[in-house]
Amino acid sequence: MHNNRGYHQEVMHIQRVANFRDRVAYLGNDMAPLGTSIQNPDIEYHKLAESMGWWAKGPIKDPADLGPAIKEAVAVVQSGQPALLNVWTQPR
Amino acid sequence: MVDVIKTLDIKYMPCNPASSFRGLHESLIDYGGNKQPEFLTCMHEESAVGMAHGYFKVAGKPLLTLCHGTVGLQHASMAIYNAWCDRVPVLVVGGNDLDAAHRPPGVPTIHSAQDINALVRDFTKWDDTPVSAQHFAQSFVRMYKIATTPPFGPVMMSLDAGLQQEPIRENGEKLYIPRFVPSSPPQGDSGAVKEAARLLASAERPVIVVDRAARTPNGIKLLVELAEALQAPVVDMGGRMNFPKTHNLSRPANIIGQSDVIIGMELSDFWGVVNSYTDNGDNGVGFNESKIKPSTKLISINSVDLNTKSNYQDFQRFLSVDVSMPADAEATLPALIEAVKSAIPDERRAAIAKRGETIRKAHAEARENEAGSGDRLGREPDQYRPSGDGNLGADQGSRLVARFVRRKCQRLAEPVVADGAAPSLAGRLWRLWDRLWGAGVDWRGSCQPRSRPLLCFDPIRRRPHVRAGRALDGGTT
Repeated sequence: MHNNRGYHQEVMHIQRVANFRDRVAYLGNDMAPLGTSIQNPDIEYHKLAESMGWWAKGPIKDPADLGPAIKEAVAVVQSGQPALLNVWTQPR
Repeated sequence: MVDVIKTLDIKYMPCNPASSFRGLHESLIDYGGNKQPEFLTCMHEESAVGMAHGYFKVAGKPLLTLCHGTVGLQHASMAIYNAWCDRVPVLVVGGNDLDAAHRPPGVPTIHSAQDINALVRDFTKWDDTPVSAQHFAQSFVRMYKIATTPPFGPVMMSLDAGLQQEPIRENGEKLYIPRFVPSSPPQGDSGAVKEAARLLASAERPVIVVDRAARTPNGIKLLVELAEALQAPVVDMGGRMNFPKTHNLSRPANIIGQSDVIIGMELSDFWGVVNSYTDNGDNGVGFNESKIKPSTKLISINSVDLNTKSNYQDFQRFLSVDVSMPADAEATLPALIEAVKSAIPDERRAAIAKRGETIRKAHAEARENEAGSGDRLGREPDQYRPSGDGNLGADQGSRLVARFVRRKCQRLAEPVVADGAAPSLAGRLWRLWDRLWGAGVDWRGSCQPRSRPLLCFDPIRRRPHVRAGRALDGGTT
């Protein structure tokens, strides 16, 4: 899961309209929090998947953890089970 | 547009963001400061409309939701239908890019339509597609006014994406924001109010049945006043918080079988109040049975009669009533209370007071039973054991929660176990049968159907009969 915590396309729309209107877009921290981001709290999608019987892991925030997690997930899928990795990514 | 929206004091705006309303979204945040309304990010349009629906039922004020034209509105549509059925105002604005020559090709064009409002026109009170800023101002105030005039209901506006981004051109005309003045709710005809009062005042066993009657806390006070004037029991169907459950005139629905006059206020299904429908007749055909005596007089006050549409069947079965007032119940109550007070003859006052005493006693007994003797089998919540299959039956769960809530907060108490005599022989037999065969409500309500001998009603011979063990299936729901 490419979890950028956002409806990132919509952030760009807000920025585009603000530019067009020649005013500063209030975009909060690293993304627009107002109607375009899914944070506070951060949704634990891996737990959602587990509740439905999936193997899942996350949130993976350190790139060093990603490779081993993918290996684990691949082994799970090869055994015939679905797997979800909740991987945090940059907004864009 | 934001200036117009702000005049209506709308607190929140639950929305799933979308490019087709980016112009208004940016304005609400960067010009409007994300206040009145405040954007609440939602993951789906259906839940966004659901939040607006629930908020109104608690706060009594409508919310605005924006959705993507076509696909967002398709998502929203079931929740809009729910709001329509529950007569709740929700302000829905759908972004829609109308200009085929200038809108972005590809997905934004797939997500555009000539008339997005057509999707929900059968279950909204009103809709519009403004084509100028001034047109928006008029239509937005108008949609708010229509939505918040009883009978309430959701309203829809298709808002052109081009118009959202166009600079304001006044063309020599000064733009203005129309002032919102709420419409007065429709009150029952004075002749019909008088006739209803006459029937109620002379009734031996009048019953008041309410569903969406109290729009405001004052509606609750008025209902108490009417019930006390008549010393009549009140059955609250629960569509709104109508009547305090702790009031000694609050009674369960099974008392209506004894009534000679029933006044139904804002009932979503008056037919269903005075009839029963059983979906497990022989040959797979359901059957109807009246719960009341043929001589029982029926009075209806219902604002929904003023706004019925044809396609969707939320108006329920047709029922002939003796006095029919297409009017708002809460607005009609003051006149009705006065008319009832003057219609009660002096010689009936003692009998009415005696009636009140009887009801009070039954209410007190029921509450005592509720508090002291556990459920139908006399069990306290901590004595509940999972049924044979290891699951808690649906009724056990709901009783457990209800009893916990009752102990914690008496004011929220809700009698769950119906008391008193069931209205018909078949009904009484059913209760006996249910008692004998345990606490399950397999017949309907339990998600764990069990196999047991069934008590059925034979619609041809019109008598109950026993059918040997058969697990009930989902067809009974």
